[in-house]
Amino acid sequence: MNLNILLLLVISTVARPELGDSLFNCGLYAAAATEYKRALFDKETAYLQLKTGLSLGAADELEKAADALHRAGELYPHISYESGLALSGMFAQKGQIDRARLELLDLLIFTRDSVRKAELNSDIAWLELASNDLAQAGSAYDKAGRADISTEIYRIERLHRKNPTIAAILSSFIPGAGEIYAGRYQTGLLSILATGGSAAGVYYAAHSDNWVTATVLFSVLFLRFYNGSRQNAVDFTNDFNLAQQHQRLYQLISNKNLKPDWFSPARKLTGLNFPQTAFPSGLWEKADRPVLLPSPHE
Amino acid sequence: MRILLVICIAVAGAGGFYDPLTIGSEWLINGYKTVVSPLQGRNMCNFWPTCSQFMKQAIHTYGLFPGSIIGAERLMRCHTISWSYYDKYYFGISHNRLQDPLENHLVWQLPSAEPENLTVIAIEPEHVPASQKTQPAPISNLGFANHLYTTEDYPRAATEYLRVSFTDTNQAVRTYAGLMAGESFLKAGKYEHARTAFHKLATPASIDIARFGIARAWFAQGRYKRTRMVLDSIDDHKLAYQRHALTGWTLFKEQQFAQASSLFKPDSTDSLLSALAMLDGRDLPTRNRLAGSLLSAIVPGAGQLYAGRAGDGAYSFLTVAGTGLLTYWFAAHPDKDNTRIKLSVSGTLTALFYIANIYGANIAARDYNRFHKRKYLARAEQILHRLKLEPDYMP
Repeated sequence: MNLNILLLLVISTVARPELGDSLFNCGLYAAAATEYKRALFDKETAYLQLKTGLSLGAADELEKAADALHRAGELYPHISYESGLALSGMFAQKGQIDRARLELLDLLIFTRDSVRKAELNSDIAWLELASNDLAQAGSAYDKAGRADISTEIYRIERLHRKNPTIAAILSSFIPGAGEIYAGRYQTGLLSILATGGSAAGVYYAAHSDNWVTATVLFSVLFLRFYNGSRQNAVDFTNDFNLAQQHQRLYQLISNKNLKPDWFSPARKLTGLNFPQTAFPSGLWEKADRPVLLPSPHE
Repeated sequence: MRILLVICIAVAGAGGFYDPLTIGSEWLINGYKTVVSPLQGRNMCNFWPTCSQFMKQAIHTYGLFPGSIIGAERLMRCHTISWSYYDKYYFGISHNRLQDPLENHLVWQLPSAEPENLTVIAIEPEHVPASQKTQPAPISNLGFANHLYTTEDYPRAATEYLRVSFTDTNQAVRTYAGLMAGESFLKAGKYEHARTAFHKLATPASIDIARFGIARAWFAQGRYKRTRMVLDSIDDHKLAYQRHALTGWTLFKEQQFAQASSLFKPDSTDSLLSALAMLDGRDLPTRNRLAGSLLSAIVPGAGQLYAGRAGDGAYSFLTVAGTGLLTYWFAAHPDKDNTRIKLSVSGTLTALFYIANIYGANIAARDYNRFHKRKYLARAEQILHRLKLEPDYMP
């Protein structure tokens, strides 16, 4: 099948968008884009521009896809919703959240259909979730009329299980206590041992009148461990809170099925058959969750 | 006997063999990384790779003694003032750390990858089989290819130009399309393909212009010697200007400023060319690496100061002076507890930091020269980018 199509491609010299369609459906997106462009060179239509944009996006040429999809919307404003949504989906899957949000906001200005407006707002909210801005995401879900989700998101935003200030104060008095408060027992115990050991060393040296050794031990070992313990306590507590937040968010997303379907309007309009995975995706969409947890320690 | 053992260990350590000393020091660093380092908080080190990783890599690659000197030199550079040198002597900032790979800290140069014996590519005239000549031609796609080229879709334009160059009946159009295919590949960044297209699709009439294309492809890949050899084989006087300019550019890229500027006449009618003739590298600030090392040997940190790195100089001076004073103190008070151990540790550290400080001054002077040469090259390239080097492919 593919070989036949390739032969056809080699001998073809006239414009034929049908060839582009079948190439697209076989998954040969770059070749399909060439055929669509050849057809466009003969006669420019909005649908052809839309198909060109889709094939370019699937072939990982996002900037050219953006040009084609914008042109499609200009030529025939009635398909600007489908083309704009597909474009922002491509950007979102690549992890270019700001660009995707820009495209959606651009669409939102010219959309008058209230159902589509609500859909666009919930898509924007998803992007806000992906960029870890819960307040904005909540307000966008409010605008989309999804009060149940927005209240849940506000609740998750206010969720602060452990206080970093308390951790810092604990670690200032007993180095290692703040880490244990944040749930990192191993580092906490090690920290107690290290600071205690170096303090004992300083005391022993000072006691036996070795003032130089005591000063060296104090500045090189004790101060480092003491300051490091306080810093670690704050960092670990923030990590703990973020992990809690992300766990709740992940549950919410999977329960309410919030993941937007970027490409189905364009798929319906063009009649092309392609999976959502046709479009190259960044890290966070692959993991099927909006944000990646920070690594606990390098 | 004891001296023999010490010499054996020193030779093994210097050669980077897997002697117990090297392996032991790697274990020590690993232990530090897993146990001690996490207790000091995140972002303790300013660099990537971190100082401990850097030291481990250095010891692994160059053996215990050279590796620990390179690592100690890095420790003396790990301070807050280093951030002000991020674009001068380091590879920028990424992931909130200064990028400073190990490869940048060798006094000696690694051999270049370019082979010495080069031969100029001979371009043979195209042989078209008779059967192909008589075939009826389909519709020409030159218009579509040109459209793709003007809309900057170069990979697709290259394919279309190739199609035209194999199918068109008109010899002139075929030659033009072949050259444009090469040019499109060149602009699409596929230099191997560009060279093949220029090489295979050139006719005797267009041989020089194709050679110029091949030279540009070599130039884009950073093979400047090869570029000059291909440029030397061009005879066409129409391409003299471009040939001249590109030859000069390769010399500028190799930082041979005097030789490069001598190719351009100072009283030229073209103001850009006369500006290039002025850039002969006489006003280029340089620092002597040996002088820097000597200065640092006399006063620790003076060599770094001489190479324009006051922060590194101050930090080196404080480190060497601090460890030196400690050694002096322990040597002057032998009656305290464990003074022999303390004396040997602080003495070793002083020696290590002192040698590393001399080494660092050398590297600092080298980096100073490199930075100023880069700046000079950027000045020349600002002018060179304004020259029109793209030939006219229209027959």
